[in-house]
Amino acid sequence: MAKYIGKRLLMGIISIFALITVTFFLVHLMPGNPFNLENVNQAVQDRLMSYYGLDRPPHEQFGMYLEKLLQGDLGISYKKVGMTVNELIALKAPATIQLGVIAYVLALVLGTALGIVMAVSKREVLRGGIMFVTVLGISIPNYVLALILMLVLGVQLDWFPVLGLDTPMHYVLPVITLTVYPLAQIAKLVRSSYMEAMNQDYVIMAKAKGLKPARVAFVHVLKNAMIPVITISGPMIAFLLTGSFVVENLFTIPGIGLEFVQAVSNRDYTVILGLTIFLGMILVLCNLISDIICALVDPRIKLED
Amino acid sequence: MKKILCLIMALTMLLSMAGCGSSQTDKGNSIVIATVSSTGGLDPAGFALDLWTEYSKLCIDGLISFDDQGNMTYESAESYTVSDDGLVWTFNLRKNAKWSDGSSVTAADFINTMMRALDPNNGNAIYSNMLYIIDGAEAYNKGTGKAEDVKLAAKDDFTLELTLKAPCTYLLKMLSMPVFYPSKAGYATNENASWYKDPATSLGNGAFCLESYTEGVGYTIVKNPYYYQADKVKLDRIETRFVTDSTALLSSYKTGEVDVVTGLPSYVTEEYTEEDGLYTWKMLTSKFILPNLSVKPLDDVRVREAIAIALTRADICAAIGSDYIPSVNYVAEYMISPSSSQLFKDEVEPLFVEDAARAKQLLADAGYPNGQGFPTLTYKYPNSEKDSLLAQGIQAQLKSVLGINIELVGMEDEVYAQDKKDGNYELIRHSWTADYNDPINFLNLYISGASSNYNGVKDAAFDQAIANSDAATDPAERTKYLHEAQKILVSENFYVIPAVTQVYIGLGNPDIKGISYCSTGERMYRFAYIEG
Repeated sequence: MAKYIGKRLLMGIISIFALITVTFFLVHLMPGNPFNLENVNQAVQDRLMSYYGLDRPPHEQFGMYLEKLLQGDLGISYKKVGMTVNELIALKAPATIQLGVIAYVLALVLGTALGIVMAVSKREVLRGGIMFVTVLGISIPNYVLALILMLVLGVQLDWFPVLGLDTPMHYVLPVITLTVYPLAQIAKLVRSSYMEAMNQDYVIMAKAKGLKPARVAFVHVLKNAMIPVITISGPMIAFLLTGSFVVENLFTIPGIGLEFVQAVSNRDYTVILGLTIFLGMILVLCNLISDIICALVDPRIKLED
Repeated sequence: MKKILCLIMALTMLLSMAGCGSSQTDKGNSIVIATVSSTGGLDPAGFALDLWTEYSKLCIDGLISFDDQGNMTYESAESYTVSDDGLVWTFNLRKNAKWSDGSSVTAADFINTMMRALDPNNGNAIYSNMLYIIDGAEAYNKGTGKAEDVKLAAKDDFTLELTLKAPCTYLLKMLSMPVFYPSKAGYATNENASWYKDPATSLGNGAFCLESYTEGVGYTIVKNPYYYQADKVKLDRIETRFVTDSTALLSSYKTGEVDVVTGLPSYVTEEYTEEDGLYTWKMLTSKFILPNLSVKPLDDVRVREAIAIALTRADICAAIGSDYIPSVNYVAEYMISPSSSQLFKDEVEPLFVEDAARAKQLLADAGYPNGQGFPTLTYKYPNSEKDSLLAQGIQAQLKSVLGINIELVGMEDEVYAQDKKDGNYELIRHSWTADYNDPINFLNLYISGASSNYNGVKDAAFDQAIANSDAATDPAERTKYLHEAQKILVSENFYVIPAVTQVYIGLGNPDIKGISYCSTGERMYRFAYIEG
C-alpha cells in the first residue's frame, strides 16, 4: 500500500514537472507580454521587461523559475500589484473549493438517491420523468443553465442575488449550476450499476437468506453499485475544485477559474504557471484518493496493478 | 420513498424561503458602483489603469483639474505661476487640504509619487515616461542619472516647483495623469508594494478615503472627514465591485445589487431611456485603420485616400450598434479645443468627405480601374464582436465601391497588439484613447521615430507642425499648428484612416443626483446624493 502510494506520488511529481515545462515554454511562446498595453510607451515596456528578466533567453528564465519553485515560491503577479502568486492562490482557492465541495456533496447525495429511484421504482412515469431530467442535465451546457438561472430566478423572479458570494443566498444559483451535471452523471451511473448489482448471485442469496430488504439494498447492493461512482469522483471533484470559468465569470465569484482566464488574457505569466501547478496537484491527488478508496471498498481491486 | 418525499419537501422549503429574502437590501446613504477592470492597483506611481482612475475621481485630489467643458478647477493647488521661459512651474498648495488622517497635503506628497514612479527599481511604473518632461527625470529613470538631479523641489511644505527640460504649454492638461497625483510620503513606498490596499497607509486627500480593499472583489470608501469641502460631500459610503461579464453587469443592476454600471452592450439602449438611468460616456477615443506604408499599393496616397472616402461610415455603424459613431477625425471626436470652448473638430472644415465616385476615380488614377489588378489585402483586427462587425462593414463596402478584396484576419488581443507593433500587417485596426484631454496626445504618436509610430510615418512637414505647436506660447496659435498637423496626417496623406469613435453605455440609478464630469467626460460621484 505505502509502496503503491509512493509510486503514484512519484508519477504525479513527474507529470507535474512535465506540465510545468510544457506550460512554461508555451506561455512564453504566446505573442505579447504582460506590459503590452495600448497606452504604455514602448521604452517603458522594454524597461519593465528587463526589470523582471523577461528579456533573457527562455531556458535561463526557466532555470530561475525552477530554482524559486523548489523553495515553494511561485513568484509575483505582474498585473496584480503587490501580490505574490502564493497569496493569490490562498486568496482565490477558498471560494472555488467551497462551491466545489458543496456541489459535489449535493450531487453525490441527490444523484445516488435519484439513481436508486430509477433502478427500483416500478412507476413508469416516475422513472421516465427522472430519466428525462437526467438526460437534460447531462446535455445542457452549463453556460446556458447559468444564464437561465440568472435571468429567471435572479432577475425576473428576484429570488436570489446574482453578484458574488456575500451571503448564503448568493451561493444558491452558482451551486445549482455546478451541481446539475455531476448530479445527472452520478444518477445515471448509480441506476445502471444498481440494476446490475440487484441481479448478482450474492444479492439473490442474501434475499433468499431472508435478510431485511433495507440491509440488502444498502450493504450488499449499494456498496458495490457505488464503485463506478467513486472511480469517476476523482476527476469529477478535480473538475469542481478547479473552478468553472463560466460560473465564476457570470456570477462574479472571485475564484481560481476566473483568475486563470484573466491571467491568460493578461499574459500574467507567473499566475498562469502557478495556477497550472496548483490545478495539476489537485488532479493528481484526487485521482490517487479515489483509487485508494476504490481498493478499500472492493478488495478485488489490487493497488499494485 | 419517504426519504425522497422528505427531500422534495426540503427543497421546496428552501425555495420558498428564498422567495422571502429579496436580494434588495437597504443600503442607506451609500451607493454601489460596478467597474469592469480590476487590473493594476491604486498606486498612482505604479500600474495605474481604469481601476485607479475610478478610485482617484473619488479619493485623490490632484493639483488642478478640468471638467468636460474644459473649465479649470484648482484642487490641492490654489494658484500657480510659470517663469517667463516657460520652464519653472510653481504650484502653491492650499493649506487646508488634508489627508484622511488629518495631516496636511504637502509638496513632499506630490514629489513622493513622481520620484517613486521614476525609481529605476519600480517594476510597476507604466507611466514614468510622462514625467520625462521634467529636467533630469529621464536620465534617473533609465539608470544613467541620479535622483538628486531630478528638478523637483519642495520650496516649503506648500510650494511645489517643477523645472522642465523644455517648455510644455499643455502641462496643466497632463496633470490628469496618475503620476502627478499625490501619495502620502512615508506611507506610500515602493518597498511595500501593497501599501495601497491597507487603509492605514492608503490615505485619501479627496472627498472619500479607503475603508477596505478585497483583491478581486472590490473596495469600499467612506467619507473623508478632513476634506476641505467635506460639507459638500453627501454620501457616507461608496462600494465598488469588480464585475467582468456584461450579462452579470446588467443583471446586477436589474436586481438592484449595484446602482451604477458601465460598459454595457448597446442593446441596452432599446430597453432603457434616460429617465430609467441610461447614460452614455463620450469617450475620447478614435478607432482608425492603419495602412502599412511600406506595402504596395498602400504606399500610394491615392489608394489610401480612395479607401478612406469609399467608406460610408454611418451605414457601418448602424450595423454595429448605437455605441459606435461615424468619425472622419483622427483626434477624438469629442475632444475640447485647447484654446476655445468648442470641440476641436468643429474649429475647422471636415478633414475629408466621403465620396464613392471620387474614390473610384482615385483608384483608377492609381492604376486599378474598378479594382482590376489590385492585390487582395489583409485587414487585421482584435477578435471582439464589435470589431468583427466593423471589419465586415469595411470589407463589404470596399468590395462594392472599389471592387477590391480584403481578407479579414481576426486575432486574439495580444497577438494582434504584437503584430501591430512589429509592423506585421497590411491594414490593421488601431484604436487610441486619450490619456489626457489635449489633441497632442493623439498627434505626437506619429512623430518620426516615435515608438508608437507603428506604420512608419516620416513626414518633415508634420514633425515641423508639431514642433511649432510645442514652441507656441499663445494657445490659439498652438491650436492652429495642431490642426495643421492633423491635416497633414489625414487630409493630405491619409497616413491614418479615421473610421469611428465609441461611446460607453451605462446605467445609473436615476435617484442619484449631483453628478459632475471630469475632463475625459466620465461621471464623478464625489458630491453625489440620493434623492428621496
